[in-house]
Amino acid sequence: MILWTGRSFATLGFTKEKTMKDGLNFVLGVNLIIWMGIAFYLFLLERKINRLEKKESAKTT
Amino acid sequence: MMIWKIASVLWMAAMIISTFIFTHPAIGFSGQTSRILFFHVPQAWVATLCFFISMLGSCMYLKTRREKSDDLALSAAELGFLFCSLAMITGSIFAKATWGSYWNWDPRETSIVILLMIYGAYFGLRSAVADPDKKRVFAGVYSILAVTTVPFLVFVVPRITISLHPEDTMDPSNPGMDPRTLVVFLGSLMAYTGLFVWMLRLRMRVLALSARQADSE
Repeated sequence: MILWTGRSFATLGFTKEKTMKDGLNFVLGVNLIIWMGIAFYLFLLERKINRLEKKESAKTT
Repeated sequence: MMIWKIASVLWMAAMIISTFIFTHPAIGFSGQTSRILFFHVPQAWVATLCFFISMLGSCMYLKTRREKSDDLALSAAELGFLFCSLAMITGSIFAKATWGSYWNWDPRETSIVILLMIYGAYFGLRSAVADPDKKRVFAGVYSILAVTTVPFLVFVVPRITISLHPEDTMDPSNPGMDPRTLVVFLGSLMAYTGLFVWMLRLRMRVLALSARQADSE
């Protein structure tokens, strides 16, 4: 495929294999970010629940 | 207690990295689509597990009338619904890449929709009954009845009808799966199960807290 600059993708370093690898790395990165976001949210939720449970038990005692 | 949570976060991250780096695309699948197996199958497995735990919680509630058992049944059903929806979404992405359409009314796709409708009705039933004790009893009986459809819809229907769904992915002990892929696959199943246990405990604690707050008001 020729780019508007007149150079092919291959000369710019975009081989089919490299593009596929970059695509996979991108999906891997997105998955990791989503997972870290979920884990962060769960830790935050846990902290909030701990705090509320302490408050509740202090109220009852 | 914190250690196993950090370990499960790192374990899941390792499984995600392994999915893209240490495994090869499966033969017979277009492009890299087979990698979705490491997400889609564990989600479906956790959903099935959730529905059975919900039934167990319901049985315990009907026997002991302890609120905690009903909380277990409700939390497991909610998580089952969530993981079942995720399995449906990842399955649709796979279907688009493989068969060119997000939805094909394949027997497996149809049975997952029916399953979601059955558990959607469970939440509808819970919100329709005002009396808390009656609500728990009705929901418990419904949950036991609902779970009887799970083996039929998940395991029987897709196997007795002609399906687009790839057969190899249904059986993890299939000798066609190379050892490295099998290790990542089983690791992913464990990671999702760990995530489910964590989420279940959190949800049950939230339900217990809201019940305590409602009592004190």
